[in-house]
Amino acid sequence: MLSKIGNILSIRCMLLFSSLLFIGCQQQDGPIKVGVLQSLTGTMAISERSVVDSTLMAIDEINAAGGLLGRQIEAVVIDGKSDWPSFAVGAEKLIVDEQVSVIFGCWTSASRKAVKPVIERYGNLLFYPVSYEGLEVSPNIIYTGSTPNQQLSPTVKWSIENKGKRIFLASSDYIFPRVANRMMTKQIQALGGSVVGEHYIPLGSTDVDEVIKAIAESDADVVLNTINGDSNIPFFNKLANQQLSIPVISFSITEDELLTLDIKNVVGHYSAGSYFQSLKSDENLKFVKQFKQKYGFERTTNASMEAAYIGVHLWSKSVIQANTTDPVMVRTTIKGQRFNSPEGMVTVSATNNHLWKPLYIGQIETDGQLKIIWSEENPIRPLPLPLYHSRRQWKQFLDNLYEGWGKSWAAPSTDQNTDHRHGSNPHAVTSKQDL
Amino acid sequence: MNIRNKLLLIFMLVSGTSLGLLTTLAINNFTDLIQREVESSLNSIVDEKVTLIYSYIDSWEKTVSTYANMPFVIELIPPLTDAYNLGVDSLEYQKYDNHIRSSMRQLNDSIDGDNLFLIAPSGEIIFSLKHEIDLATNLKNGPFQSSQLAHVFRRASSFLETQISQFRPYSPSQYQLLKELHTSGIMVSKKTDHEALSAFVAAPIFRNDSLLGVLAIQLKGDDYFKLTTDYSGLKSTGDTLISQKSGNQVRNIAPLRDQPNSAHQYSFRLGSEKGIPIQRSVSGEKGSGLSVGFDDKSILAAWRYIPELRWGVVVRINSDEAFFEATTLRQKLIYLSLVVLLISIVVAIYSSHTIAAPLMVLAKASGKIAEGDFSQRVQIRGTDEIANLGTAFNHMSSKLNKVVTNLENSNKALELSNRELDNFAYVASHDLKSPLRGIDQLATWIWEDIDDKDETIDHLQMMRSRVSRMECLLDDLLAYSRVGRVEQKIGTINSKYLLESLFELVSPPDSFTFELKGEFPVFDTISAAFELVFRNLISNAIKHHDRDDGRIIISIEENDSNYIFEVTDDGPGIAEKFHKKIFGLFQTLKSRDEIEGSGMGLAILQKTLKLYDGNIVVQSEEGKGACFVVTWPKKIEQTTYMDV
Repeated sequence: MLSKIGNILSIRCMLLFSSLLFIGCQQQDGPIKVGVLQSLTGTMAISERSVVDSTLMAIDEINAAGGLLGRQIEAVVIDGKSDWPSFAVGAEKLIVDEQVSVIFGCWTSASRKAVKPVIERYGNLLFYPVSYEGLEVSPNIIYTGSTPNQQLSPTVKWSIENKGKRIFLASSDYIFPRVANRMMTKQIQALGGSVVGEHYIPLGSTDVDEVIKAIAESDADVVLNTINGDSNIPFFNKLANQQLSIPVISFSITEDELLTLDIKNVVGHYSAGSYFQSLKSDENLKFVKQFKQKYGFERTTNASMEAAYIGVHLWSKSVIQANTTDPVMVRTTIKGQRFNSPEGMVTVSATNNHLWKPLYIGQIETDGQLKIIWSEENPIRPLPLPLYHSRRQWKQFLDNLYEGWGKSWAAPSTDQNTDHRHGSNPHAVTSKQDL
Repeated sequence: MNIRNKLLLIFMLVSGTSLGLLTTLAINNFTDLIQREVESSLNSIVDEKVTLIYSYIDSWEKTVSTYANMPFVIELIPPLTDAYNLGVDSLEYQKYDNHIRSSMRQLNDSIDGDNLFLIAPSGEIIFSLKHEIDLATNLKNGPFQSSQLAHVFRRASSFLETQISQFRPYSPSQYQLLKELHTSGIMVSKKTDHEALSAFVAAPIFRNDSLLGVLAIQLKGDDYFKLTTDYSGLKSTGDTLISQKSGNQVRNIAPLRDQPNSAHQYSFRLGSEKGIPIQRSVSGEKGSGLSVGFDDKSILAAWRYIPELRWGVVVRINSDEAFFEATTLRQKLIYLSLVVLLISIVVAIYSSHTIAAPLMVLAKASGKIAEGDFSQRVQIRGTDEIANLGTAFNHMSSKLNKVVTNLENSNKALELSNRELDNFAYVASHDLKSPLRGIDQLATWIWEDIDDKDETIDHLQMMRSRVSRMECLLDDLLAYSRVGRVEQKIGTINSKYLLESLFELVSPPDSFTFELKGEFPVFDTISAAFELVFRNLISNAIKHHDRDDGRIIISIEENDSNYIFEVTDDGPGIAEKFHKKIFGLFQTLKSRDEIEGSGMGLAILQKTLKLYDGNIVVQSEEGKGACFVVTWPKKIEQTTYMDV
């Protein structure tokens, strides 16, 4: 108690004296600059703009509460133009010209992989907000989205236990589904299930007849869906037309995508992720309310937006603990950092810079929201690199995909209407690689 | 309280508070600095410990995964499963168990494991290096299904993940331990005294994509908790605490620094008021700061959470020791400030004396001045502001002295003029009474000599003349008194024509000559006053002339602000001794019978001219004519009239 009073006194005295003697001496001037690097134009803009919104909302929130280290945060937004080299150029511009302390950015794995060497070269820090295929650890990147073992593994186990052992894998042809299916196949078999079909369609393709036919013929109990973007529209429409009553569990369908789908054709199907807008926690109610107030009642929140929001707050807490915005110091204090987020308590892993995150399986309802029917609320440890293969084997696997697609992270697309998740490039050649 | 004491008090207050404030500031700054430094070193020590623990976790998980991927491990699973299916007591199983035992022991020992298990996908433990009671039980539905081993088995078989479990007591090992204690005759009083905490690491064994089984290794906690017993950088009271939750209790799992066998010694409820850093750490928080230890001591601590093990790691040091240097500094500073305070008191007394003493002298002198003694002077010493004040005081008092003298002089002048006024009253009454007395006398004579008609006519004629003289006197007195009381109008005059007409107007004898010399101006002035002045001067010149063929010359000159008129005559002149007198009231140089006149003309002129800032002087010698010099201002303000 005494020491507390002493502290208060000392603070008073220091305030008094510093105001008398050292006016302006200790204040660092100007705002803290942070970079926001997402596509504001091009095919990815529709998804990435929402992430920019939630990122800026978190920054505004911190500024409104008095800023960081007594300074305001100023966001410098750069358009990645849905073009991966532009992301690398943007990152370099943010670091070198704008002198940002951190970058919140990237959606596709392709853009992240383009930015990664830039961030590492300058020793800066990137917060990446999208669930992805894993197999990557960088000391300079904090991954706030789910890893496969957080999103895929619990869902596979739940599917087999609740829906049946015959599983069909329907996918877009780019890096995330390729890696995801590789991992899921192994787990399905270990759990005594079987993959009764595995089908890929090019990103953005609307030609789904073949995959629908394959599903119909497979006699599958459940479809695990990693089809991305607009391809889902014909996929679910045809599935409903064929009157196939096989449950589909999707990994890339969030509230945002449901806005574009014909809702009667997807009602009753499932989606798995670390966050849904319908979560009832106080933190989420506040988050959703705040977002709608800021950007409009018709807007929805999704996992990537929420992960971006988490990223800003984790960074802010680490800056406070480091008492500096220097990325080198923040990289130390970010380890083990916690945040009571809309999805639940998240913690930054001290070993791989991914987050301990929960998993929710939601069933699609008529209002375009997801009703949580199962959850693993104890945060799941992130294991971005499954140990049953060595690091070298995984690298080889990725390299083969990349080379096979003509130095790209996606198989070629048949048309240009693409909205792709988890990394893609519409200009490449098809190739199927396996371990 | 006099000024000396006041100054002394203010001086001591100011020096005392600022000294106290500065001392406090210095101590606090230093304390803050020390806290920051100690905190930052505690933070780096705890981060180092955590990194060490993580490096162990990482190497355990990687090593076990590597083992599970080793071809010879993969190859021994099918035959082992076959042998196991015949029963663990079967000769085949024992033979195969023996066959693989040494290589399994080698794997186990190379990562300091306590036990090594091979588990079938069904959950059956098909191999155990130590052959404890868990062998051949099923981890999915057997007695140990809720153990940490069962947990890591599920992670490995269902999720294909290699994750370390928490450190918890493992019943089969516990059973074995108690059995050994019993056989060696040690009585077990408290269960937790002999609790061995174990963690497990398990990895799936695959052949291609099919799961053959799970390899698990048991790690004995005690071997690893000692990892934290490196106390470098932690001085003498620093300690590292590793704790974990069990239920709503928090318990230490690594020994304390000064008690090597103190693992599990302290435990307390979550939410109690002690061991705050430990509680925070096991609740998942990360931080550092001043807090209260589990032993109720004030400590400086840094805490971390290891979610993989659900461990709270705390590095702490007693506040006493951490702030030892600050305490020493505080004592030194307090002594130092006492000395400085003493010196400042001496200085205060000295300076209050040097400032206050002269001030008090000045105050005394001022008091005397106030009593009327303007001769007060103070002695001046030095050249500072106090000396300046003294000089100013002396200057002021001498000036004051001068002013008072002047005032006395003016008073004297005023008295003089009062006397003149009395004089005037006397003269006036006397002069005014004498014609009246004459009238009275004449009337008496008329009354007595009423028979002698001729003489009576004479007397009556004289009486009339006295009466008219009296009238004239009273008129002029009235005119004099009216000068300045009546507002005068400004008009443009042509002085040349005006003067000529004035001469004509007084109807001089024909033999008199009149001459104007110089450029006479046309200008704006008070014409009535101008007329009055020059009519009087001209008529005087004629009236007082001793010849009929007199000559009057008016000349003009000018300077910046005035016209200077000279009215010269060639009359009898005025003796110098009368030069002043002629401007007095009722002053005539000859008897009134000789030259009729009130004796007030020049007095009126002078009064009028003075009113408008003009002037009149006379230059004359007896018998040589007279010259009146009139200074007439070029500009006269209309508002200038006497305020009555």
